[in-house]
Amino acid sequence: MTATTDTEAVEDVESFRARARAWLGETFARVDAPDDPIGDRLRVEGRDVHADAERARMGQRMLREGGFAGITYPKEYGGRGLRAAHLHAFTHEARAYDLGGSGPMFAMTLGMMGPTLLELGSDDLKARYLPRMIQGDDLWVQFLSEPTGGSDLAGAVTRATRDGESYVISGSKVWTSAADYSDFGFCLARTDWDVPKHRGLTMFVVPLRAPGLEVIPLRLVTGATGFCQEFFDNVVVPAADVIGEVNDGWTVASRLLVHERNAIAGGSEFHDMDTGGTRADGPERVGRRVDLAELARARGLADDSHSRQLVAEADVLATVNRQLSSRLQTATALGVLPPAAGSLLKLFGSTAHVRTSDITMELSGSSGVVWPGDDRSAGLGVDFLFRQATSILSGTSEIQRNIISERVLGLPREPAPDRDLPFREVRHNTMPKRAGSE
Amino acid sequence: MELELQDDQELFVETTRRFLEAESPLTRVRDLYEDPVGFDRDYWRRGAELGWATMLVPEELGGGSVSGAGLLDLELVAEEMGRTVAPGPLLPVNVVADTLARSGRPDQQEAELAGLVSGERIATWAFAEPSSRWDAGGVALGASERDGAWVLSGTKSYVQDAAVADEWLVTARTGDSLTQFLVAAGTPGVTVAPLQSLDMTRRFGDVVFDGATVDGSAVVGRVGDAAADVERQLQVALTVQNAETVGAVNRVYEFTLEYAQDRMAFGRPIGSYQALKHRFADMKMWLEACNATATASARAVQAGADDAPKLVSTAKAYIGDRAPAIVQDCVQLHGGIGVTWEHDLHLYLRRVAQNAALYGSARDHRLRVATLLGV
Repeated sequence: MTATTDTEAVEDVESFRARARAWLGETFARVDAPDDPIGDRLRVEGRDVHADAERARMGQRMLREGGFAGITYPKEYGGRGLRAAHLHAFTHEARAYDLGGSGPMFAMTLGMMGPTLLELGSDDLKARYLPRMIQGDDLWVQFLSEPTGGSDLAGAVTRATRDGESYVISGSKVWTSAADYSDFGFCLARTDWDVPKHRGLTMFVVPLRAPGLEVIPLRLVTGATGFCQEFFDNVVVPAADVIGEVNDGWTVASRLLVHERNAIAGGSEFHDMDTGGTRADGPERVGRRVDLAELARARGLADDSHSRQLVAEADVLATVNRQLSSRLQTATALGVLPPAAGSLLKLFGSTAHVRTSDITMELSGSSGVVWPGDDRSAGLGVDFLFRQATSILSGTSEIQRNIISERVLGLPREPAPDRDLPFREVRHNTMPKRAGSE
Repeated sequence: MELELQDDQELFVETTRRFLEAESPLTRVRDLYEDPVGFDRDYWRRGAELGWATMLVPEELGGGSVSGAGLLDLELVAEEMGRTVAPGPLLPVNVVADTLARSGRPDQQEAELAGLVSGERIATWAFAEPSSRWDAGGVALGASERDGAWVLSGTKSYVQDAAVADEWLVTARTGDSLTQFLVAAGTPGVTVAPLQSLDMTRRFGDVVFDGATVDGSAVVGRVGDAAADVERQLQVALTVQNAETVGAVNRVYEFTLEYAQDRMAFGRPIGSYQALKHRFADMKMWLEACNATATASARAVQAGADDAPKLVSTAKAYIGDRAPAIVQDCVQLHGGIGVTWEHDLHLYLRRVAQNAALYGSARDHRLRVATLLGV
């Protein structure tokens, strides 16, 4: 699929690349070690995320002014109407430059919510929001998981009740990245309790500063704050701000998840989170990038055969991760494997991350758990605390294994007693009372 | 398995597959278990007619490949042979033919290549020694010059098809450097001692050089300058081996997945239990990763890329660990039938376990990766 809708002559990729290269060199500073505000805030206490967001918006605005924002988005919404090859060429050229962290910071906005809005949003919603995304005005988040259930996404119990020309939303969402500095969200809420769970959900656009919506950053095991929980207390949104159809929110959520997987795997046609240098290849996506060879040398382990093997094992996993990513992109493009094969990469990246984290811990020894200085996030052991995160976020490894076995391998589905029951009759968790509230 | 093939490559694979189905069914592989050679010379000659030994030899020397990227075509044949655990000297013959085509003198090429390409003659590489090392540093067999001839002393081990080969490409130490010799079977002072092997059809031997004398014309390439050829030979051998292993594991996984869908327990297919589904998911992930790293390294070797040494060792380090683990897990998923002689699983387990150890184990290749990383 291509986002190009017009038929006028498309600029040759190489000429586009040359223009991009020249413009990047004139406009941005080069960087050796790219900043990753998204990954970094998960482990560094006290990072100023609002300043990060402002820098990213500025970077995105500069891209827009230079004519390199929304490269594959249609021109009518402020994009360039070009093809994925142009996007990849630009990304490649932009790797060495500091674009204000706009690549990772706009990954959700332009790689997930933007494409979904483009596919399923009304003309009014698209005209209202897509240009603002592309020119760096708004950052978007997704309100999907709830405190009552993460993996069972369609079992959402946040409710949206029709009231005249509006809906009133009440409930809670959690594990929302970036909600504390973003502007709008996709919110999945239950609009019909008398039909099976997948058929009673609706997706809404919710402004994050809407009255009744409270965003609380969650403190993580690393001591840093990376995700948020939100409480919806009778938040009113216009009925016109439904994405797709009422009670067809599952279709929207499913597309959102496809775009999420593509964005994470580096296969998005709309945005590349690596733009501006942040490399995101599986095992190292969360947690800092550690030069294990250097660590082994520094710890006097360069002549220790076991340690050398550990260094190599981590390198092998990182290399194979990239090779697998490339293979799966080709396999799904050719139809050799179904789109669900993206779960193979997610699972590989997560398990490789776990192993790499263990290796890092082993090589760092005592220095990983006790260290000098006043930076509480400096010890490599801090990353070990967060080791399981990649195996949990964006769909746990257990869910990935279900997806692979059922949708890639064709093995029988898990029995699901809730599948055909009206949601009202399905056993489900109830929304916990908020601490301190009545 | 490569995902995108040219039309002529598809035809080539199809021809090889049909030939193997007809000429080397698993029942035939079992019959060859007691055979001292492990393959039929006529089978190999007819396989060679399909192009099995021509791919690394340029057209002007009587070779040629269907795609023009010979190593990638060879990878395809090796995968097919892995899928049927087929017998035959695919790896050693192609390694030697490649080096003769690259570094042999015209008279050596004239004398040897036609026979190798046609399948009439068989050559093998004598590299490792009883120390079980698969790197240049492990070569202890010495060669010393005497009156224009060379005297070889030492023992080569783990030599595939040592007894049936018409000649051996021998990697020898000449002082601080390496030199390779093409030594004809029957040369006085050389004896072959057959070894037992895990694989059903693959035979190995020690080749003992007891002051054997060869003419100066036996030198392949330049004296003391064989390091690059040896590295290339290792890369080609590992590419063929990895492709064969991946082909074998792909096939084992296919029939194990079918079995899980057909086999009933407690009133439902065993493949419907989540405990087993998740293992199939993990195995699929490892298997696709094996496929990915095998093909990526083959492309790097074909292209002569700077990172080919590292990518080849990365592939072996990964596949060498994962492939036997997947096949053993498939044995477990079969239950009792999986550990019987009757079931074909062990034919594959034997090949995969043997490949994991030869031309360097996963451990050996991790250490090589570490060295290339500067640690």
